[in-house]
Amino acid sequence: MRLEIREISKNFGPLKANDHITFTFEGGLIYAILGENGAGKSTLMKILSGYQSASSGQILIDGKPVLINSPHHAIAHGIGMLYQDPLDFAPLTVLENYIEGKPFTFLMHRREAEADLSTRCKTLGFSLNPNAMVESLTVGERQQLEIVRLLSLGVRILILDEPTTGISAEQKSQLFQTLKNLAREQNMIVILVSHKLADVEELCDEVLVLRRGKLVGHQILPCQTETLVQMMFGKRLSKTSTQSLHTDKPVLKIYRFSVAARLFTIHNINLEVREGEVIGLAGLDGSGQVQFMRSIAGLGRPTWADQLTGIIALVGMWWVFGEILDESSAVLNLARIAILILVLGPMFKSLYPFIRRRSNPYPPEITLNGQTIGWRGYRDLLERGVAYLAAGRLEEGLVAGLTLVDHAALADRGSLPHVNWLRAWRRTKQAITDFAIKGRPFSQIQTLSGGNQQRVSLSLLPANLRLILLENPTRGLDVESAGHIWSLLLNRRKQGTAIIFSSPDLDEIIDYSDRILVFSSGQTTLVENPEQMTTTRLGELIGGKS
Amino acid sequence: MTAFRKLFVQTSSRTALGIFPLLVGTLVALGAIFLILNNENVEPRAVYDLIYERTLSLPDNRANVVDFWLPILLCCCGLLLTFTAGLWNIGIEGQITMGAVGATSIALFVELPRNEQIFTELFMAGAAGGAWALFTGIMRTRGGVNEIFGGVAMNFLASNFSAYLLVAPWSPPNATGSATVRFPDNALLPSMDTYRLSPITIYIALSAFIFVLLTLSGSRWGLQLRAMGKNEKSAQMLGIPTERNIWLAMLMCGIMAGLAGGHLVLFRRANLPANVSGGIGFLSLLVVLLASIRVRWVPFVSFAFALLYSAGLPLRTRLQLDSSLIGVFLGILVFCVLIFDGARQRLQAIVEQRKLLADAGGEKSPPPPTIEIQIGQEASGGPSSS
Repeated sequence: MRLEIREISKNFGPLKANDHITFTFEGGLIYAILGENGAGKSTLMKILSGYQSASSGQILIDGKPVLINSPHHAIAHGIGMLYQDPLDFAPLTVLENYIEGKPFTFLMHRREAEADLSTRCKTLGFSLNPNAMVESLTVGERQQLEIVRLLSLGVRILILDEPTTGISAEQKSQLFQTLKNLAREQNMIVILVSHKLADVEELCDEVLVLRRGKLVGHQILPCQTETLVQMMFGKRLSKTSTQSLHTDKPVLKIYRFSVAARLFTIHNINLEVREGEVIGLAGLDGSGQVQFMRSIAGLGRPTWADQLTGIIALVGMWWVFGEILDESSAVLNLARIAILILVLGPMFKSLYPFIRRRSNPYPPEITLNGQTIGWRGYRDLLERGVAYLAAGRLEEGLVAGLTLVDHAALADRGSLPHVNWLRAWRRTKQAITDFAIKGRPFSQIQTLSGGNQQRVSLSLLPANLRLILLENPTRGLDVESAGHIWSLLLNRRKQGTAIIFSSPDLDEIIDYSDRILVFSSGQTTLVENPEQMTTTRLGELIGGKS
Repeated sequence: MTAFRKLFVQTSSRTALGIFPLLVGTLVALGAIFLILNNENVEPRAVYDLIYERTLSLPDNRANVVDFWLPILLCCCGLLLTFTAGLWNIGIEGQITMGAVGATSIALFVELPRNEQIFTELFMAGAAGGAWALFTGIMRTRGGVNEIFGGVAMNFLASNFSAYLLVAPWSPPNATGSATVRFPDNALLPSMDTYRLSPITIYIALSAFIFVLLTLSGSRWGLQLRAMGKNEKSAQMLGIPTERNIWLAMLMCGIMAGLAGGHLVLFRRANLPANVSGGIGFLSLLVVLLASIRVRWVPFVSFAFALLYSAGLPLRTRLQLDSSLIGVFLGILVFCVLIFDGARQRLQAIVEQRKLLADAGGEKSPPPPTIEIQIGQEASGGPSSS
């Protein structure tokens, strides 16, 4: 197996995203493509996987030139790509996803497909339940499904884009073992796109480094980490200072708190967070860290107003129907009853947590600065100094299609009914300077890089916050951008702001946390001294070893 | 200054792109209509002359068209608010019906001095329509019922409720249940001396349009609605009171629809008939879709619709053409404009992408999520930004 790229260039107007890249990938080896955000890695991988065509250059497989115009073409030539968020169909089962993309037949041939899936899973050491819904799987399991699916389509060149983002250490080591087996035993070419140097050093045989669209380095591993960093950034990077700044004054107190996660329900969580403290949440994907933070922030848990309006709506609807029910035909009455059930069913459901809480003799307590916040919603809590930044920046945080100035105007809490565009524009200019955002005031937010989007999110947070909750704050960012985000966050601690964050990156949790709350098999364990913790020990705690 | 000049240029090109589907779609639709008329052996010129004669040639006919246009404009103004917020308020028909029922409940059973009577009737019309829409909004935010399904259910409920009122409690003696008795003159909206037009409705409709124009073009609330329409979850995370805004947008739309319903019974009909809305809610949905949620176009597009609809009856009597052909013509028009709007969106995406690349030196990302991350950085570090 041999993949050659010759003089591949991709131009977007005056910008050269890829500039005459030439390289040969040999079968049986695992390659890493490294580069800071915007170096041209993803563009090159998109060209190989058929999502984009090159402006010029040639791709050859086993010496034969091939034309790749679409992902379908790429797969036909044996090139498949696994994305950071696997491109699967969440509401379908594992088996149905496995069947998708196969050559069309009128019938699905489920039995044959199931047998094929089981055999492939056994060979690779995966355990996937064919009848499980994909939405119930962890990111790691979804990646396994996608790998099996791509292999069943005859893929011989496997490209993986940030595959270790969002999976646990255990899942990562299983994935790496699988990739090594595929390369060594089946002579496949595996190409890894990643920002994580530790992953690259652990898995790969050779490294290609891109900078500003050009191939600037090729290194055979192992080598010094500093060599790779210098190739990527052209300079040495200093580590962000993580000196502890917390006081003994508690900001947030949580007692007898329960969280229902995808894998487990965790009962009786108790935690006190102090001013200026950073708490890292560690655990397998789906173990409840995110749900825990969302509940604290008032997202997705029922509030008093929910229950009250539900009851009023129920009584009102029932009264209206009761008034006219007797006057019409039986068919119409049946139709009305059906609508009643369909429309009001969800309202009944929303009343359940309320009833459950009322029947609990020891209800949970969450207090912020001594005030109970158990039934308050996110907006209310934001005004009280609690902010939440989700991992999906464009899904939950920023509005694609709006400019930076629009965002500044939205975050402006002025009292006048009209938008003060001049103030918003000035605020944006200030934020661009203060937060080192690489963008312009009238740039649409989706055109910014992930790191810059995260900086915009941080710039939009109100001043004097008491608590910031963050899901995977450096998701998809290179070392330099991640370091900058953390320096901005840690600056907030000087004003007494406490930080709670979750991350799949155990190094990040150990490096930045004052204490770590580990979520494992429906239990939580508080680690008081992260400086004495190693990733291996933390991985063991996550895995349930005490 | 450069930034503002750039903004102006961007706005101008967006407007030019926006007019493109309307113009080309209309031309294509006119071609298709010409073919249909040719098939019916009717001279297109004769149809045009007739439409002109029966709608625009005489003052009374013009007044009739305006009278038909005002409630549509009111409904469109309401829909502009909900559509901007990403709420597909399909329940507007029910809101018109309930507005008419609300106004009728006062007109039939309450007797007050003229001014107070009319104020109370219109208040009830707005309140009933608003409450009906608000309930759909509450079902959306509290019950998780999509506003489209909620709206359909509320339309069904409203039409049955008004039918029940016509059959039982509000039915005139010895009547078939097709309409209530005629309202007393004291309860009807006053008309202009020269034309059969209601000045009150004109004031209300124009005020509603100015309010919506100002709200969506320069107000904080309008910007919040726009953000919600693009991404409600993100809007919530930015601290926007999304629930309150949904309720408020639905309430405002319901009030405007209710007032339109009030106008229908208090001026045009002078009683409450069965199927009082006559489909103007759905017509308004089409208008707002056709105008691609652009406030400034709505009065013109809705006036064109009102004009064509007003010409339906004469087409049948004079040219022996089925009056439903007007519906077909409008359907063709909407279809063509929507098709060309699809083309416009593709074109606009290309133009904006090029503009962004020229502006920031980056590539706009297609589906895979990581690509976006890369592009902006390229943009900022790329040659064009230096």
